[in-house]
Amino acid sequence: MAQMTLPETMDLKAAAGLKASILAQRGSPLELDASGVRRLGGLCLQVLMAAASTWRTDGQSFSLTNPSESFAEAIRLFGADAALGTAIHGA
Amino acid sequence: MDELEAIKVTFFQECEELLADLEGGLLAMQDGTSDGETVNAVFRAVHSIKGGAGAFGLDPLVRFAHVFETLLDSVRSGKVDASPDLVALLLRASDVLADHVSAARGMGDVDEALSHAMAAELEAWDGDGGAPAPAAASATASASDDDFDLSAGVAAELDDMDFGFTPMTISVEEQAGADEQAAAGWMVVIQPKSDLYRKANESLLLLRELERLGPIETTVDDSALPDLADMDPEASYLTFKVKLTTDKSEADVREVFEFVDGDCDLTITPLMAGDAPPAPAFEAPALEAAPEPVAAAVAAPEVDVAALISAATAAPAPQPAAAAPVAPPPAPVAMTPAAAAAVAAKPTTAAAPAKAPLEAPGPGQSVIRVDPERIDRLIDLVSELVINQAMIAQRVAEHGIPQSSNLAIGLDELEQLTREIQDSVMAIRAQPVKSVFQRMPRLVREVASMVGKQVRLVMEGEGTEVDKTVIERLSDPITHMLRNAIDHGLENPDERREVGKPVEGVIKLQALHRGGRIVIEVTDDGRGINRPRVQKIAVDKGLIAPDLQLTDEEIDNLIFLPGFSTADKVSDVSGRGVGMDVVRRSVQALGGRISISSRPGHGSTFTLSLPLTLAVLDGMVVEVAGQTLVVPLAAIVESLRPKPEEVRALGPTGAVLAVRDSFVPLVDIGSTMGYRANAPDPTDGVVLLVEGEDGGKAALVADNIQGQRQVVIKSLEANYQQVEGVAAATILGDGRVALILDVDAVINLRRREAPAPKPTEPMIAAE
Repeated sequence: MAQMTLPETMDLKAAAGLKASILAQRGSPLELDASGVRRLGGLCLQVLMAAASTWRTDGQSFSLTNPSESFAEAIRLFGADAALGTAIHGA
Repeated sequence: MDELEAIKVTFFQECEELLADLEGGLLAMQDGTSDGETVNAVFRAVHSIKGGAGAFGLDPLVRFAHVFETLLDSVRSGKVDASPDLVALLLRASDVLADHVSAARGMGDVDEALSHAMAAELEAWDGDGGAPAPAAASATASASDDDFDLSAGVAAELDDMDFGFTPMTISVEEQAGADEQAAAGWMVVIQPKSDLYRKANESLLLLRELERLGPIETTVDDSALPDLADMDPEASYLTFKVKLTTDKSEADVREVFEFVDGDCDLTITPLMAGDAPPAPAFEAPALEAAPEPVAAAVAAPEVDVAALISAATAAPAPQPAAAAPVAPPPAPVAMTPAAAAAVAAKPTTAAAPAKAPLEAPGPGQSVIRVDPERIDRLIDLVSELVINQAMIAQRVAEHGIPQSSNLAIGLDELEQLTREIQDSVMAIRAQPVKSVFQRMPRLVREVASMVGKQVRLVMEGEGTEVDKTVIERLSDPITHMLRNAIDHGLENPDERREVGKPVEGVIKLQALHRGGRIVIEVTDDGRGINRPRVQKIAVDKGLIAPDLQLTDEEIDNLIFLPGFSTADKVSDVSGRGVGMDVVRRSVQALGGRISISSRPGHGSTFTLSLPLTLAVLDGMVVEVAGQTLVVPLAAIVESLRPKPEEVRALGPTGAVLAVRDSFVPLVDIGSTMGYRANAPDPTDGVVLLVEGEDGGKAALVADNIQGQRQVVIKSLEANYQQVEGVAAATILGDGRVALILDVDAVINLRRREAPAPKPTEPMIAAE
């Protein structure tokens, strides 16, 4: 089980790095700690959604843990609960 | 209804582009160079055509596009595998779709039988797709994709037409969920473009702003989102559909997006929730019990609505059976708001031209559509300006004003500016050859299937730009060269297998700029020209003397002789009554050249070269027997004053000129063109060494050279009639008309007059 902590600011600048670091974990179950996220932008949301779907296709578990208030609010506003909802734990 | 007509014209222009995108995408899928986005683009192309066609009531087109789209949607969602067979089918379907578009435009007819067969084939494939409920599933997708596609925005105008389509879908969809949100509000569909993020804007902020207007409920459409590994982390893939419950006006909602104008595609449609009280009670259980039939029911009104807009009475509903169990009771309810929406949508469609500028494509990709006539007029005016400027320059020179005077310097600057204006105007008319090339894959498919060969067309240099006047004339010669390459060039599959070549023949169509001309090459990997056979045919038909010694290249080019056809029997394909000689003649009329080179066993290459523009020409102005003539500079290799010892008599009237170890026939322009009876002594005049379209050289004799100049071409055919030996005319600085020589024709005229044992032989002998 690989674990990663999501960065505080997940904006345009963070998207490429996030994609690369998540992709590097492909093939093993992944747990992302969202407790420190203060801003989640649309681009990073896409990366997370794509990652969740890729992990699902691979048959590996993918989870987002301890979502911060900002993170949870962003997910709600984006309407991404359904896409990521099952991956979010410990809200 | 002029306004509507104008929108329709725009729609058909869009259709052409969409059809090209469609074909391009399908070809990419065929080559295996496609990705998820390609399939999406292909789907969007068909979908947008359908949307626009629906708004104009082009029923047959809508019907066909719908079946096509349904299958594409299954491909897109991965339910149907994009096998080579399927792609081939889709390509053929795109041809039929193109026919439908042409027919809707009043150009040509649709082969109804073919169209029906194709539609049936597309539908059948859908059924074989292995999806448990393909109809319902794809219907869901197409219903939701309407909004998605809308915002994807092919062009502002079309989007607006699409709008005419969308509101119904959404309102119907809304109907289904009406129990949850009874209050009125807006459905806001936001598709951020990558630029939005690049400019440090954020879709989250937009959503947060929307929430200030009232409670929102967002659903995210990730159908365009690729695999993590394939995605560009800085590109935008998601579409957000926001159900906003508020009493604020549409303007208020729009205000939220003020700062991202152009960076996101936006659709705002009113929620119809409060209008339909009976619906919730019925639909709520239905939603839980049978989601798929409901989806089908959603799809059915979508089609009905398309028909409604078109004001056609017969509504094509492809899935009536699937819709049956649930659809009947809610249908009337659903239709009411839909009809209302249709009415509401009409002004939107009509207002499209007014709205278009506001919703113009994002920065950097704005395109202006201009009536070609306006550009032609501009070019005419600039041509006049060039002539006028030359005239003033000449007057100034006549008055003996020194070169260093302010007036002369000012004139020089004016000349430069004029040149620049001319170049810029010509650049406006320059178009990529893509518009011609994109018609070719279809031709190749049709010809290939007609002759039972497998052919792959490879195209290169589609972006090569050439003047509009030239582009219009490229189509015919290219068509011919391709037909010829497939029919005569490529072997039958069996033959190819025998000689160890891949069964699929490859034909390469290439465009490039070379030496101020555009060169089009058609290369096949077939058997090459059977030279002994070609020569024998030419001899048998009396086209050349039996004992004539010819180089390989000369033999290859025999196929351009009038009356030559290599096929043993005239086939459907090449033998359409137009031989390669006609092609060559029409190409030459444009100042172009066409030739063929061949390597037996390895294939042949047709090379077509044309001037980049037919509007201006760099020429050498010469005097011949008191006349002023212009010789195209492109044909001139060098000019010289011959010495007496270099001129050798040949026969009673002929003469040749010794130029660096070789002899070139001397052709007096004056006597050939009929200006004078007898050729003067070449040593008294100037000789222009010219190269003909086949690489053969000749030495044209003129009396004097006036200088080199860019001249504006005025068609002689359009203003007078065609004259042999003359390509066109121009107006000189002093206002006089000068003829522009057709160098090849002059050489040929001279050849025809030369004594010959057989009437047709000299043409070849001299080549």
